[in-house]
Amino acid sequence: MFLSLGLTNVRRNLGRSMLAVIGAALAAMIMTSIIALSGGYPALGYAEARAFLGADILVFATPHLVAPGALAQVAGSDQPWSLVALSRDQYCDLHDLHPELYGQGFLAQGGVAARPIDLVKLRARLAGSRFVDDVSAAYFLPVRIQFSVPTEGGGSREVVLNEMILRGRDFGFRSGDGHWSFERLMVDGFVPAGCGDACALLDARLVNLGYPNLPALGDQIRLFVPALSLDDTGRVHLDYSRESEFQLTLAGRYEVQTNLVAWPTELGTMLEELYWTTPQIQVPAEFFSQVFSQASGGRHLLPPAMQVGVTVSPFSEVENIAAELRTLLPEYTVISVPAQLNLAHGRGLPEAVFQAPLEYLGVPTTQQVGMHVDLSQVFIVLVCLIAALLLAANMLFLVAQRRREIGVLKAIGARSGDIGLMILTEALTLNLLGTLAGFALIRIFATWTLLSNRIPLAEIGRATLTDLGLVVTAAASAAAVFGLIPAWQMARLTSMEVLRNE
Amino acid sequence: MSSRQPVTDLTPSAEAEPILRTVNLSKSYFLGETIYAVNDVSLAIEPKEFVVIVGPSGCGKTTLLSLLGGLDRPNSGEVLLEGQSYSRLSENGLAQLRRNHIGFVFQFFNLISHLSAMENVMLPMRFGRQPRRVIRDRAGELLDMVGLSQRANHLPLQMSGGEQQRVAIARALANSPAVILADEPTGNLDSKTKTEMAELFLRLNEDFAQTFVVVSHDEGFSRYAHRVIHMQDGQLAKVEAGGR
Repeated sequence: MFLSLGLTNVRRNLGRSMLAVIGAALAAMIMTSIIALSGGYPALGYAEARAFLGADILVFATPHLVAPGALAQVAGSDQPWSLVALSRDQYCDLHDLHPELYGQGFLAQGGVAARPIDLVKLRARLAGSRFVDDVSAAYFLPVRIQFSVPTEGGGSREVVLNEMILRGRDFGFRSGDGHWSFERLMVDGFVPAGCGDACALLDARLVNLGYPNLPALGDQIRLFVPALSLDDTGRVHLDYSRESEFQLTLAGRYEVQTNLVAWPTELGTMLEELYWTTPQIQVPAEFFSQVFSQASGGRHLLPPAMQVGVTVSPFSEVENIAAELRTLLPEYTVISVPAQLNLAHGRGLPEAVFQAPLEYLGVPTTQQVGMHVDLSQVFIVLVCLIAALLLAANMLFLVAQRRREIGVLKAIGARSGDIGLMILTEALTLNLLGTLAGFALIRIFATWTLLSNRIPLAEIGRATLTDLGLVVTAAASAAAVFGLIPAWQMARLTSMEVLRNE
Repeated sequence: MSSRQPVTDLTPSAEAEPILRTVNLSKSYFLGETIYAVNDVSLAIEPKEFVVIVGPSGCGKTTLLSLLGGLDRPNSGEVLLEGQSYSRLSENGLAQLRRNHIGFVFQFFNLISHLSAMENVMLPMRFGRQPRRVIRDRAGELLDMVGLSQRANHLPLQMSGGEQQRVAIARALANSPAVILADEPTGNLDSKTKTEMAELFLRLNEDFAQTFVVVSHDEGFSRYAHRVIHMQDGQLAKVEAGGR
């Protein structure tokens, strides 16, 4: 009976109900916004880089990168330090993010040989972390490719691109996971039929690196891979005098937009879109495995992982997980992609800049990146508290207005529990309405942004449902607590106390 | 605290079982010093009786009424309804007692403003387990009894003070209570409506044998009462026969 009375109260007190709904909607809007922010709906640049790299955190099988001034901070080891440079044979994404390491080198502790990462062991070590979604290896080999391009006379000519990097990666052919799929990465192309297909993706903006002629979609590409062997440490040795040849189909093209630089001119504001352009030719991990096996003369089936990507969810946990990994894996180099991209943006890297004055990219620096500290949790808690206070005030207002009614109900025989149930029904109903309204309002804008960032609909739907669950649960809990406390206090008063004071 | 000896009113018959009885009932508040709102009051209300309690403001009439109705708990003494003491009843027990055995009529009507007259009358019955149709029929009968059947779907604010009070009386009658306690039921009404209200009380008392305890300044009620109890300083100062 008190349930229906609560609902009747909601319906009949439209003004009061609307006020409560608006209050709840405001709280829901605040919570939805902060959850969206904390959940990490990355900006265009980061979203694209994340899709390209396939991870939020990269773990490299290279020794620590240490600035000279930071040597003293690396304590507890008597291993000698030496200056080493990145090897072109051991290509990894660090080459794009820190090209200076080719020439300047870096200080490495102990043996300089890169140690391959045992993916199985690493996955087992990270299995307990609830924020780590996936651990996947990225494989690289220096290759050259050859393909035909049409000429003006109607014929064709062969084009050879040297110094290309074959990148084997898990494209996420796993059903239902569209996050790292071909579609997610491609700007045009088609989805190959199976995992083992000899298909590839090329950077659509290779022209920026001086490659004006690119194969058309569906064209055949000849891939030449140097013979390789592994030493006892797992290091790959390449023999360019002997090559193996493979046939590939160009399935699609990708591009990684990372920044949009604006600068004032006499003619108005100029804009330049910046892209992270790489000489990588991306193939599925299964195909890479075949290539590796054949190039090693059938001696090595599984290539050693020199770079591992860790995907983290939510986004706000990236820096925390990166810090944990640095402690957990002192023998490897762990970088967070957002932190590195921030640094890279400041230095005009890794994208090529053609027009924009460099000063608009930030101050170039060679200093080691300061550690990013994730304060988002503090803000989330603070903002959620503000939302809870709003709900509390809402509920207090709702109950305070009902003193006389509660007194009358008690006088004519309602029990305290009944009154609590009635108030709770009203509070939850109004809050649910308000929460849904507030959530929908904010979510429309968030969905627009996500769609603009080419996030797949399925993923948006999943995130929307998760966030809705969080917001509704938080709002309902706050409404229940802050509605019940004053209702319970009010219900404890005797009718006379209530009616006398009215 | 007054040194006057309290009047013990167990009239009219010490042999008949009273419907409502108090034994040495006291209620005090501490406002810098202890103030006795009700002080050692013993009285008995017989079934079908119409009792009016009169006295100056602050003499404890309303407090006594709230103790009789189980709206408040005494510091000492007992209230018994049909021989059953309130003192051992929990809050929920008291709520159930008020729901099933006592009807209240307040000076300011205390209707739920967003519920119609019909819904207000139905309210106490809806706390029980009767079918909604039965409740609605009963509420319709009660509104008809107080002459408001044509106003059943009106909200309290759409009705005059007298009409609101009649709805409140119908609500008080909803669960066929043993006794109706009315606190200044005409205090907020004009003189014509006051008379109509007093006559309604009289009719309900005569035709339906409804027991009434009415706190009122209004002389009109005393004319219809079986007994008039005068209170002063929280005690029964005088008991006299009413106008009937």
